[in-house]
Amino acid sequence: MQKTNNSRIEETLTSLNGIKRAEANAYTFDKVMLRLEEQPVPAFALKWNWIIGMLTLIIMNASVAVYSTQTSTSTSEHYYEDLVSEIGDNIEYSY
Amino acid sequence: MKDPELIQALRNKNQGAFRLLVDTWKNKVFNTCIGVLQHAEDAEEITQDVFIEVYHSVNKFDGRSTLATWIYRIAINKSLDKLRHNKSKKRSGLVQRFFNGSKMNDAPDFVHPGVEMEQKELSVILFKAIDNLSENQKTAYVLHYVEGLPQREIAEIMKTTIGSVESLLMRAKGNLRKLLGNYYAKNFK
Repeated sequence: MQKTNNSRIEETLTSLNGIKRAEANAYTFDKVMLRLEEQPVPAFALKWNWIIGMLTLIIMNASVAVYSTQTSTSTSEHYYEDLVSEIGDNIEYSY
Repeated sequence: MKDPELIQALRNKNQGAFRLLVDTWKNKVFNTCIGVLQHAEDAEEITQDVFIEVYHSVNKFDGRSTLATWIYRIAINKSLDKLRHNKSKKRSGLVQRFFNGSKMNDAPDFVHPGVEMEQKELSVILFKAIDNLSENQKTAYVLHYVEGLPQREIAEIMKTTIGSVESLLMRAKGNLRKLLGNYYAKNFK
């Protein structure tokens, strides 16, 4: 019985003799290209991250500048109005 | 196209060169992956991963090894990573099954598509035994007996000596004999 099992083991070990190479999917290249297109190359993504980051900064800076200009203009307008009414009051008092 | 020209073309992101590389190497990579993973769908996914890695990392390829060695090395590393990932998933599944009280299913039989018809049954048993080998022994055994690489090339891929590969193959065979001995002792009393 032991001999039979030994011969089984040897037969099993030689079962890969004459094995042929397994063939990959015929569309491997297309599938790889599709995946490459879906996932941007890290360097490419990094470059775009930089561009988007810089654009965001520029837009934020510009909007802050516009807002502060508007605020300062409106403040000076109010100041001018206040000043005029104050002068008006003073004129009334002088009567 | 010779390797240095091909590598240069790949560095220039030449799509024709990349197609040539994939078409030349897809069967070798797939065969290596399927030998390690014993699962056709996983092997197909990992084969694609290997070429994506080659595409992205070709600039880092220093030419100290051959292109063949480099690609086989990526294929082996990615397959072993996938195998580890699958095994850890399987372990967590096992814990879940233990707590749920259900029985564990054995992995399905793997039939390598290149095995001769009359050897299929025995090769299924052999692949189950191969799956129990250590990573190094399995790598050497698959590269030698499934992919048909000489020990010298396996040594380069595994970054070791020919003597070590020889010893890995001897120990792999010894362990396979033990595993098969236990299997046949259980199933053929």
